[in-house]
Amino acid sequence: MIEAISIEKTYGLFQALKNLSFKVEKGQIVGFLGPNGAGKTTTMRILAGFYPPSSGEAIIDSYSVTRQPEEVKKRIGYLPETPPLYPEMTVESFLKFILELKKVSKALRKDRLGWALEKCGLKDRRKSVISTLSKGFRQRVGLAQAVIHQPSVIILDEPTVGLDPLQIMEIRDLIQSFRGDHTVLLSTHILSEVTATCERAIIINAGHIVHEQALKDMSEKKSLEEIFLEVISKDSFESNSGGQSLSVA
Amino acid sequence: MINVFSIWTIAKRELKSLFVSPVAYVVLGLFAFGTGYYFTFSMQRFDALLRDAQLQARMMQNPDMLNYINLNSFLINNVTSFTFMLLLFCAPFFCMRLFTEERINSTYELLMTSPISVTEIVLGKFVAASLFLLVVLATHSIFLAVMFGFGNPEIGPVVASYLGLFLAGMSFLAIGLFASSITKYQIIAVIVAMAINLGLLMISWGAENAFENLSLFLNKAAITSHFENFNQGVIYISSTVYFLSLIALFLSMGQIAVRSFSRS
Repeated sequence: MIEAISIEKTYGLFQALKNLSFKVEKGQIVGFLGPNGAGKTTTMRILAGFYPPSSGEAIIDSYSVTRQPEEVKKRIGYLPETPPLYPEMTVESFLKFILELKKVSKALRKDRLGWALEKCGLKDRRKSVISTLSKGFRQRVGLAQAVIHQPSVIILDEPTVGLDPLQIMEIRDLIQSFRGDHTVLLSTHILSEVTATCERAIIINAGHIVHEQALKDMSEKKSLEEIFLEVISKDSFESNSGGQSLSVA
Repeated sequence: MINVFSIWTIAKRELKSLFVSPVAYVVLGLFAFGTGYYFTFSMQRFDALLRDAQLQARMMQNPDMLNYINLNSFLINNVTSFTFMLLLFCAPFFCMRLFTEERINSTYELLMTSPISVTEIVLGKFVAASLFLLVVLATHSIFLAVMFGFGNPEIGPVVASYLGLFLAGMSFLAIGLFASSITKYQIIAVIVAMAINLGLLMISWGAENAFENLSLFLNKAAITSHFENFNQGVIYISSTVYFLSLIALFLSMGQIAVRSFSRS
C-alpha cells in the first residue's frame, strides 16, 4: 500500500510539489502520468525514501518514509529513471550484491536470484558484463534489481523509456505479472502504456494532481489521451489566468 | 546502529569492481615500479656511502664511525619517505571515483533507497580503499625480504615506519573519499584532495619564521612531522591520535556530504 498525504517539495524558491495526496491499494498497478517536469520523479524519489518531503507524509505499508526509513527501505523496490547499474560487474554478481544489500537471508538468495533471472529474461545473460548489454537488457537488469527481494511495493520511474516496441511489450508483460502480489506505481508520459497495464491513472501537472481516472470505468467516448490533454490544458489555463498573465505562443 | 555485514557488502563490491577494472593493476604496477626503482637506486647509494665510510674509518683508524651507517636510517627510511610522498600524490587519483561514479551510474539512488545507512556506505568504501592500500604496501615485502635476507636491519623501526605509512595512507584515502563525495566530477575531486594533501604537507613550511606558539602549531598540524615520528622508529600516541582524528574528521565530513547530496 502506498499513501501520500499532502506532500510538498520545494527547491529553493521553486515549489516542485504542491499538496499532493493519493493512495494506491495493495496489489494494484497505478500509472503516474504527467508532462515532463510535472513532478513525477520527485514524487517517486520521496516515496522511495531518496529524499524527504519538505512537508507532508509518505506511507509505505503503514510505515512512515521519514520516521521509519529502515522499515520502508526493506519493503520497496525502486527503479530510477536511469537503471542503477555497475557497468563493470556481471549480471549475476550485480544481482548477488543487490540481494546482500537488500538484506535477503542467505537461505533465500539462490532461489531469488534464479527467480529474478527467469522472470526478467536474463537467464542467458547471467555471465554477461553489464557494460556489454543492450539498452533493453540493461533495463531488465534494472527491473530485476527492483524486484529481486520481492518487495511489497514496486516503484518504477519510466520503465520503458527508450526501448523498442518489442521490448516495451515484454516489460509490460513483466509488470502485469506483479499484479495482485505487489503494489506497483509506475510513471510514464506514454499514455498507451497506462491503458495497457494499469487499473488506474493519476495525472499530475505542475506539482499537483489534476485528475484521477479508473481505467475500467472509462467511457467509450473519451480516450485517456483526450482526458489527459483536456485536464492538462485546463489546469495550465487556470493557473495562468489565476496568477500573472502569460502570453500564449 | 552500524552493521558490519552491510559495511562488508559495500567493501566487497568495491574491491570486486576495482580488480575487474584496470585501475587496480595500473596503480599497483606504477607503485611497484616507482618504489622498486627508488629502492634499487637507494641501495646503490647506500653501497657507495658504506664504501666511503669504510675508507674513511680505515684512514682515520676509527671503526666507531661505521656505527652511524645502518640499513634502517639510510635505506629503509628513505624508501618509506619516498612512498609517503607517492601516496600523497596517488591517493587522490585512486579515490576520485569512489562516490563520483555512484552519481554517474545513478547507483547512488540505489544505495540511498536500500536498507543501509550512509555511515555504512562511507565505512564500506573506506574499508575497501584501506585493504587496497595494504595490498599496495605488500609489494614492499620484496624489498624487505632482500634487506632482511642480505643484511640485518632492526625489525622494530621497520614495523613503526610501515605502521606510520599505513596510517598516513589511510588519512590520504579519507581525504580522497571526502573530496569525491562533494562533487560529481572526478577532476574536481582530484584537485580538492590534492589541495588538502599539499596543504597538510606545506603548512609546516611557515613554521620557521613564525612566533613560538604559532610555529609549534604549524609544525604539529603538518602531516609530515607526524609521519617522521613513526619513520624514526618511535610510535607516539600523539601522532597516532593525529592520524586517527584526521581519518575520523574527513570520513564524517564525507558522510555529511553524501547525506546532503540527496536532500538538495
